Amino acid sequence: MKQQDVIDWKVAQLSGHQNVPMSTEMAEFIAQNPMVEKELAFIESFWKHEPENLPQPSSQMRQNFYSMLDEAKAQIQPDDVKTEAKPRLKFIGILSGWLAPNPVAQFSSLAIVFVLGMSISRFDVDSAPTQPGLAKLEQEVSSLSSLVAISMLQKPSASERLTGVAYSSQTDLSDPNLSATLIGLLENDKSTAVRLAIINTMRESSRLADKEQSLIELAVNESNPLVQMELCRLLLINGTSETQRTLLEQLKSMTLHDDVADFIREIQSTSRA
Amino acid sequence: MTDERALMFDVQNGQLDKLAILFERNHLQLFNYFLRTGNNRAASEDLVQETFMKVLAYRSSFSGTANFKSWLFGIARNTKADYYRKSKQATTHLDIDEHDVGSEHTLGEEMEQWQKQDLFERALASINPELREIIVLSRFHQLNYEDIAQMHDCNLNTMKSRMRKGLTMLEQAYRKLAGEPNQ
Repeated sequence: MKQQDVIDWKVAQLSGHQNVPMSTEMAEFIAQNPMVEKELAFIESFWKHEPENLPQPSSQMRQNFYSMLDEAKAQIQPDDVKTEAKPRLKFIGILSGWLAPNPVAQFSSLAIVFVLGMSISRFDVDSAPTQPGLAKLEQEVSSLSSLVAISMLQKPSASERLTGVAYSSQTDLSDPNLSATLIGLLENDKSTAVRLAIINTMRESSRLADKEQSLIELAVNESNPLVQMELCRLLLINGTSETQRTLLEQLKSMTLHDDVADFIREIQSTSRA
Repeated sequence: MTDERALMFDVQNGQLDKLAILFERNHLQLFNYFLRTGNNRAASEDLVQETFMKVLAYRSSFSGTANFKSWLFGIARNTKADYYRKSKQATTHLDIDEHDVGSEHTLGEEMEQWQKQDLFERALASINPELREIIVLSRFHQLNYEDIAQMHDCNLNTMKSRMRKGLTMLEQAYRKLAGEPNQ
């Protein structure tokens, strides 16, 4: 009989994985080793001590889960009305849609535009609005949105970073700091939701061309199939023909996840059709 | 109560409603698993969300050879590892200030109970993260040694030995915090 056997027996009993009475040999071993007895008493005390108030998550977590589930259910078609596209691939698209910038952030940006408009008109009451004035205002709004976006993108919570992505979508992504922050997060963010939202924002940007080389590298080196598929979709649909050719050549020489390989084939057949 | 493995097969076959049942049954346990293994509240909520998103995304990979809970915690563990790898700022110890310690406590037995709970939680938070995780999975989530060994990619004897080491460290930390002499 070893001490390890006694501990294993005790843990299995307490966890409900077995219900074997203590053997005589074990009882004798414990009686001869008061230290083992003390150790068993501690383990029992730890196992049987029920935490009084288990920490509860916020209601936001539940809401987020059900939003995601509702979107997924709404978009996945039943078997009898399936189209040619595979539902699994459609589902990926739904997730991206679910992660799109939220209306609250869009409303906030509109509020910023309003406040800026008010302050400029206060300083320039007597003069009629001019084209340079409007351009300046637009530039101010864009630069302010970029500033807010960068600040939100550096927050520790994924939901705050998602808001940051929403602010980014209010700009034309011309700010190099914002672009660099987005690319950095796209490469390293721990939340898949944030990464997919960034891809979604880039899809709507008119300044994709200057980021395509970085995006190709990310797409090729990405280990998360969801993100890799969305990056490929972005580049193969919105990228230049040169980018599309480069990406496909690089992907050909790689061993891809089955879902990603199916996805690339799907996109290629759609674009050929 | 419907078997969770059967529910997961239903999800796999397109009955996504069933995922809500699995979420309701498991989200609190998952949230506390992430808290107890060293993450703050915001990160733990994000990790629960991320875990269920992966359950949906990778639902076709559930084969049913392991039970649902150990498959779920396997995904949770990988999600956590991914989180640490990406943030490169893993918190190795629970932030005691952020840790919930209950609400209304009065003197006497309740206070003693609360103090004991607090000591257990703090002792647990102070030990090696890998050993802590093994204890948490066994004690609070009722996973057996075989499942935990599989998740940690080690054999059963190694797992038992790590568990023993973890419990010894836990007891030492507890006694130190309680002001009791160690043997």
